[in-house]
Amino acid sequence: MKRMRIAVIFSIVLLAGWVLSLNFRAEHGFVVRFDVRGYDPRDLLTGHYVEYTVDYGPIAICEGATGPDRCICLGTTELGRGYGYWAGTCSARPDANCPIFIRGTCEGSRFVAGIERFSIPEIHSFALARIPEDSSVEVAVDSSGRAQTRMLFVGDETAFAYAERMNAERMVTEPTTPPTP
Amino acid sequence: MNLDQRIQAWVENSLIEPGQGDAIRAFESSRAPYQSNAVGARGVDHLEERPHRSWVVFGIAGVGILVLMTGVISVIASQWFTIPDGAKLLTYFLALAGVGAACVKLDGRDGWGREVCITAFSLSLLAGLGLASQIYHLRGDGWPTLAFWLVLALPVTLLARSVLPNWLWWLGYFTTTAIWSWSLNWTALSGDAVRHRMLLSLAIIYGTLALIFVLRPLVSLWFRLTGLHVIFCIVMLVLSFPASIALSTTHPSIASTSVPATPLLAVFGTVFAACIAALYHSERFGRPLAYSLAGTIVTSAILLILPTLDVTAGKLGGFVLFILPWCGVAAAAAFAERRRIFDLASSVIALRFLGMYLQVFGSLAYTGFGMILTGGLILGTLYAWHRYRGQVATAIREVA
Repeated sequence: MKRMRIAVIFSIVLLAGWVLSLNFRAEHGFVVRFDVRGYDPRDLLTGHYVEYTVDYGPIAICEGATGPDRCICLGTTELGRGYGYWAGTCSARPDANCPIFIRGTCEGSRFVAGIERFSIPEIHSFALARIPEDSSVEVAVDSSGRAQTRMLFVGDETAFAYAERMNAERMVTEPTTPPTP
Repeated sequence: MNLDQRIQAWVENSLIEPGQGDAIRAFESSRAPYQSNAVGARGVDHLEERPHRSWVVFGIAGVGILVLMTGVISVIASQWFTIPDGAKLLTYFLALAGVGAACVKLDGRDGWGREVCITAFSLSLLAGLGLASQIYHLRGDGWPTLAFWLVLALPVTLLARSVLPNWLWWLGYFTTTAIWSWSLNWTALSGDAVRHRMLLSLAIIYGTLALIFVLRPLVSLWFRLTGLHVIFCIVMLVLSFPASIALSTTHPSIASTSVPATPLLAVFGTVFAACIAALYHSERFGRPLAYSLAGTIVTSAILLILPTLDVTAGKLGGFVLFILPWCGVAAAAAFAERRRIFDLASSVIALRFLGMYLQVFGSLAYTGFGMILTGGLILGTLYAWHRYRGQVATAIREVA
């Protein structure tokens, strides 16, 4: 019984610690918002997730990459959007000139940092089947470059508010009862 | 045979003293929930009496519980995204702690309740990873998440005393390894990436099994045997046979094999898995298969290290990868004194030798002299198999 108790507590504590680390990163990391665009080139609705490509600006991230490990030094525009001004292997990152950076991997020519998907309710899947224009994702980045998705935006409203508005408009324009002859 | 009859049989066979038998009867009588105070001539027969269980009542109650749970799940699912993330996580961890507490409470008793609880706890950990992936928008279906689940579930799995939780863990391990090996970038390597992936997966999993045998004192028997079972039934089925077929053809690609790979795979794989299932409960199931595993590891490593293979070497490698698992089955069958399984495995090995002969000689086998030689080889193999298979089985047992 003692060994079972230790095994159960070990698993629960380890899982809870991991969840707490995710929450800490989301709540206390450096918050930056990136523009997003469709993925490859269509938007993928995988179950209850929508996938997209994060726009880091006109910077070559994965060209010439010899290994998967990649870091991008981040800055913010006047409009508050994040952009990358340096990309390379994480070991070659200029520490002094790169206080905020994001860490990821190159999968072929695509840079992936774990922020390229967003969970949506099934009821919103129709409205968000395609990434609308002026979409952006807000992420939190910690001191080691790991990023955590916080919210997906369409313009200034959250993806959920946008989807609810779209669903409401669709209900108005598409009546459910057939017209009488 | 009730307890009283068993005690009587033990006394008659001098396993226990008559006084000890009386003491056992008295002890069991004191524990019986529906006892009568007089033990008497009926002994403890009344221990077999229980209140009548109405299966109709249980059945209807089960349906009611199922409908109730389905309704609860539907309500939660429809309102899922309106529930605050903190509430979801708190409820989850409370439920997880409840399942864990049940496992601790049931730990003192053997039986299906304990094992189902351990399995439910492992599955709950996986559900928690999925929940966190949804809340924090992570990629929960990648190999890192599965690998983390393997670490979380390993401690309770090692305490399991049945195949159910162990099967779950080993299936997760196999899936994680397959996803990881398939995600690697092989473009920098020379040779066929498909072949490298298959061989790497084989080498990693078999190397893990070899490590587990080395760490025998630290892991449970169920864990070891289930791992062996899963590896042979699934990994061999999925990787070794197509690997051997792919390597045996002129085009090292599964998609362009010159033989009908899928039906061949289905036949051999099904037969192989059935042999393993039949041998599973043998006491000495593990060791001969471990030897063949070791041979397959070495072969896979060699094939992986060699940058390219010519046609003949590829065929030889594929032949060895096919033969080794079946040698393991034959050896295990010999150890377990399962004659028919040994006959089956040895006949498959003999057929594969014939197949190798046909592959090596190719079209020459279909000439006049070639067919004479082929016919003679078939008859000779059949005679040798019929004449000497019993002696081979005996020799294998003696080697142990």
